[in-house]
Amino acid sequence: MWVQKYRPETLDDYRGASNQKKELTKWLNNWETGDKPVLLHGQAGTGKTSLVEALAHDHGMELVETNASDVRTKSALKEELKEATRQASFFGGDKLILIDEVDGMSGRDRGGVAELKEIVSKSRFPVIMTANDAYTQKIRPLRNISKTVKLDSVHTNSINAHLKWILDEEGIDYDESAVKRIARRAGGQMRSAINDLESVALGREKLEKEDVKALSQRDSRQEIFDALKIIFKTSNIENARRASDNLDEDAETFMQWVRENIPREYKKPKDNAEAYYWISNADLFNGRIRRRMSWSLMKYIYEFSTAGVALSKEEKYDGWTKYQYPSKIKKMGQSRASRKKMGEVTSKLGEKLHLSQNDVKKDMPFYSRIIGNDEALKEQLDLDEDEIEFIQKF
Amino acid sequence: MIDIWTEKHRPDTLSEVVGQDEITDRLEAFVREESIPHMLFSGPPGTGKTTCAIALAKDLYGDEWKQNFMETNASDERGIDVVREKIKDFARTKAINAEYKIIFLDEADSLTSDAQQALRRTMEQFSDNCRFIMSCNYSSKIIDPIQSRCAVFRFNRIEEEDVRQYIEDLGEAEDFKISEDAVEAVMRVSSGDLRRVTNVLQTAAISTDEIEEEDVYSVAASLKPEEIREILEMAMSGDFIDAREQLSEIMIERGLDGQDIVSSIHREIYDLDISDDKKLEVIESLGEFEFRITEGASADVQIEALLAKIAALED
Repeated sequence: MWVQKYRPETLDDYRGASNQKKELTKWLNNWETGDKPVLLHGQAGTGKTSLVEALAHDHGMELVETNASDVRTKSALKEELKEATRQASFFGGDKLILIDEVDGMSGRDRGGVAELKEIVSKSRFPVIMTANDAYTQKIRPLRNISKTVKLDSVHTNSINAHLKWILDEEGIDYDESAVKRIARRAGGQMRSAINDLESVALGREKLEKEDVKALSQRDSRQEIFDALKIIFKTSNIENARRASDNLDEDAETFMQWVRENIPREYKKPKDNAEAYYWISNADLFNGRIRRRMSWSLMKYIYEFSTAGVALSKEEKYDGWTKYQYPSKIKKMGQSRASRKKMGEVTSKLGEKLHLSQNDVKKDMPFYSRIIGNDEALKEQLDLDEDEIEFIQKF
Repeated sequence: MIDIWTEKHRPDTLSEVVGQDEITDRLEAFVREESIPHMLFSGPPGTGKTTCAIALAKDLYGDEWKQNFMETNASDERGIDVVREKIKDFARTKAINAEYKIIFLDEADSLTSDAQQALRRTMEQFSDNCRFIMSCNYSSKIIDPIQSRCAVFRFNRIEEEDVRQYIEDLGEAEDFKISEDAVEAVMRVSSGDLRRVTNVLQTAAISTDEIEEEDVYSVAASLKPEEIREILEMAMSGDFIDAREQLSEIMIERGLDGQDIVSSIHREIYDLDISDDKKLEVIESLGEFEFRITEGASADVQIEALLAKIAALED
């Protein structure tokens, strides 16, 4: 992965953020026991972790990393951190402690933040905490005891320069505008820019403009996958509800995505049944909206598909699920020709036999056998060979 | 002439219509008086609604019946606007050798109430030279303003003895014999639907001219989605994803009607290997899901939700 391969080693390698670099260096150089920890915040992919790693490297410090959202229970977190914050480095030198994603700590773990605050303020070593959002209510106690440093999203020019440097290192030629396009659509997130670059440039001799086009399609697909991941993994109604924000897909398509993947994620039949119950509610509302043009009901399709499905699980399923494209949409596409043929045949027969298309469809097995190979009937009903072949399938 | 028996033996005149004597008496009176009101024919399939409308037109117009009679199906046409355009086109010209043209609108109950309102206005617009006959399975689904403008005729299921007589006549005309057991079987699989009776007999007569009970059942079985049982069993044994796959196969690829699948499931539930309490529970949910389908929800999603429920039963 290029993200790993081209991770900056030193602060010099780290592009941009010169003020933050200075501020952190000063803080670390002057740090004494009892001083404030740092809360480093900024949106995902801006390079918070990389910055801390480079900082530790330049100071010759051992970096002890914990990810707050990974550690399951309060007591596990406590154990791990207490040890790290009290004991001297295994290698004899100084330690820098990094607690990543403190705002990702589970909402259920009410005591967790208080516990963390306690441990951090008593640490014998400097501590840097990172958060995507420093202002969520949840981590307010931590913010109050910390020196906050904000890492802005990376400027497009810096991303652009970094991407070009990577391509040079890889020996890949490039079209300027192709690189710029990747840099621009990353929205200030270095990490996703590098990931995008790798996905379109790896193995090529030259990165051309049209190679980049594939990205925008992957974009909306990725957005759906992200939304599904939130819905299926969270049990928090607010998080679930927000999962459908900013999606490009219409409500019905989105609902089909959720429906397709319920049994892939929810292995317990009870969870599956309950989640399906909510999808069937969403589907009912979709029907009502279509019949009565009551567009104001649209929100319920989203709420049932997100919150309803999210809260249907007893507990979160571990592991990674491969989410799939809705088979209904796929099949409808594939069977379009045969449905069209069905329409033609039933309409033709219906007219001759004074029946509705539905009546014909229902009794198709009869007509199929009655018509069989009867030449006279084929002619009377004005059926061509294609249509006969279609009818014979029933 | 079309050699599909339902067409070949469709009566040409009201007096030949099977069953429904009270209705045909009234309709014949309209023909004699040459005074036709708007009408609503309501009743289950295969009881003679379309047949009566056509026979009435033939009796009334004689050779000109085709020019003066238009048949259209509300469930086939794409929306009420198409129906109205078609009606307008037809109504624009005068009736030939008659005062009125007749517009027969089949399956009027498939129109939403808004569309029915639009239809009512169309009826008024053209009532100078057109009469409407609408047919439906349930008159309760037709809005009052339309019902109140129509003479309503309720078509009942054809009486058993009339069906027997019909089968006997058909045997003579088409040259097949049928055993008493087979006649019973035909009655059972068609429950008074004369179109079904006719189709079953013609299909059975392809392979034999002496129809026995087994012939009837084997023909009728071709209508039932056999996979339903299999799908339910898959769901119960935990293969929900496979069950779902197979369901969408028969619904999307073979175009099976959701309502038919619901009825099949309904029949199968009582044979499932679960406690009576659970059966009742499943029936209750099925009722809810079926209702939702009538409310505009999509059949595949609702049936899948039922499968998911069945799959979770033993938990």
